[in-house]
Amino acid sequence: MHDSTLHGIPKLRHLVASRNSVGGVTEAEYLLPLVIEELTRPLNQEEQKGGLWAPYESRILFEGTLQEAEEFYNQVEYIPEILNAPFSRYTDGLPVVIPTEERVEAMLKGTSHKPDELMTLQRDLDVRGFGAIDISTRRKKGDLVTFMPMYRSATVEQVAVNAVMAGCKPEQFPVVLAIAESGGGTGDGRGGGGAFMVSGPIYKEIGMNVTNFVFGPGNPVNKALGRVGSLMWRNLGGYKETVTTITTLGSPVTNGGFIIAGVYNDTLYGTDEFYLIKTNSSGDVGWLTTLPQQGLSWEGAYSVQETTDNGFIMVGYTREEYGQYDVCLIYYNPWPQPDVKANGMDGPLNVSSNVIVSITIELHPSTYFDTYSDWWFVVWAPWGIYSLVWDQGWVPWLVPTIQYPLYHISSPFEVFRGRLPPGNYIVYFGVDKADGIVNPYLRYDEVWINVK
Amino acid sequence: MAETFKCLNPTGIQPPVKTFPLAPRLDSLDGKTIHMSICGEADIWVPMEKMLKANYPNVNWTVNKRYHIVPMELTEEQRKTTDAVILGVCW
Repeated sequence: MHDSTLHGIPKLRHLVASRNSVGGVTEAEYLLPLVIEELTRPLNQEEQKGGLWAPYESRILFEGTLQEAEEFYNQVEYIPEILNAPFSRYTDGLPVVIPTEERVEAMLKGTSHKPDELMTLQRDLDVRGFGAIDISTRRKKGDLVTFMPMYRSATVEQVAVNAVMAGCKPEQFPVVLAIAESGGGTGDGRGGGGAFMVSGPIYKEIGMNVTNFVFGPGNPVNKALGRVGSLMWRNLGGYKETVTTITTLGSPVTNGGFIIAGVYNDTLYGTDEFYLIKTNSSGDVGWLTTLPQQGLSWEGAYSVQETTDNGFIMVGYTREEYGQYDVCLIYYNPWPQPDVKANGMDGPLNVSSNVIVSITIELHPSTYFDTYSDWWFVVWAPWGIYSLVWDQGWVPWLVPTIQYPLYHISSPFEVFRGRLPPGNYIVYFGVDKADGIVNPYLRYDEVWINVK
Repeated sequence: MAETFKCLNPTGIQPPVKTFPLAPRLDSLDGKTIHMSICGEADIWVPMEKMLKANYPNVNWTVNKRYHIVPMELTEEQRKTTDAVILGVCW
């Protein structure tokens, strides 16, 4: 709802639905009459008002004993609808160091910037977008830092308040200011805190751990700096889950867990290869793989990023023996990748009813090769949903075509050939966990066919 | 008596926003042009689009679809001819 407020329509009517049912039919049936009602129900007095939305925040938030302040800062509010759970009003959910005036004043001794100075960019900055968030921006040194998602600004003192709350010390404050300069970003489904890289001699001066267990507990500086982003985006940026943004799992990887890229040293052949490890949220290994060499002897990954199709893009190096290093960019998708085409096209295919339609499938199982799975070949026709079952032909609704291990179908395999009556069709080909029902592991492709 | 402290506000500075009333509601859907602006994943909007068109055939339905976090803006011509907009966001 924050977007509607920021665009001047805080009373925008909205409806919320889950995405639990297959094909979304149940939710659509629920939503449809409500949508019509919102379009036609006359406006109430509040909805007819315009004006100015200008929330005011005082510099002193609370006055009292430390014990009372702890209770105040740790308060939660209940967020209804999608979240349906309590959410901390000023913290990341854990107790914080209370930001008394004296503690904030001490924090400000860690910088030469004035307390009332507005946070501005200290250098030109290009922000690159990608996928569904391809909003690239170019910002100039001296521009106000915009804290997302509410497009707020902040003073150096307000950053210091959050640094105190996170448990940072004054000597760490220059790093906090550098983190703040990013303005935050509360994610497209992948996390509300972020990760930060600290470079330069300051990492030693402030006592960071850069050797073993850098993400683990034990080092106060790593922990406090890792925490301060969550507090700044919550307080400076106004991040409030499901109200000002939706981050679903809040994990670096969309389905939970972590992705780690590095180098696999093959001791038998003495070569290095790209190495990718996916863990679950407890850190247990889900899958790991080396990637085929690009024809050279020494290769390895430095960095990995999830792509919008849940694959992974890695950047690293490659070199011949005694040769120069080259940059190497590799894309890898661990999920099965079904593909369905109509007359060789991804669609939509527009044909007349006297034209023969050929529907073909391909499948690349990736890390799920030979995994026993449900295979689905489903058509949403004008007269209903039908599944093609291996030994029965077409049957109504959703029934697996077959339960069978996944294997490569690397050239088009024709599943259907014939003429179709006029109407709109959607053909789905997918695979998922072998349990006889459509489940969240489903990976599918679809092709739209419009027959006139 | 326990010592009291002044504790500072961690919240950022929110720029003011000029707000507007909602557009008038429709007295009837018949003969109206209603625009569906769909962004994100298809999902619920596949059956929604089908049902709206089937249940309200007297509406002139127009549709824009985009796999993006920002919906497509109406053109100048659409702004003149559209009676209502349904914005569908599906992630």
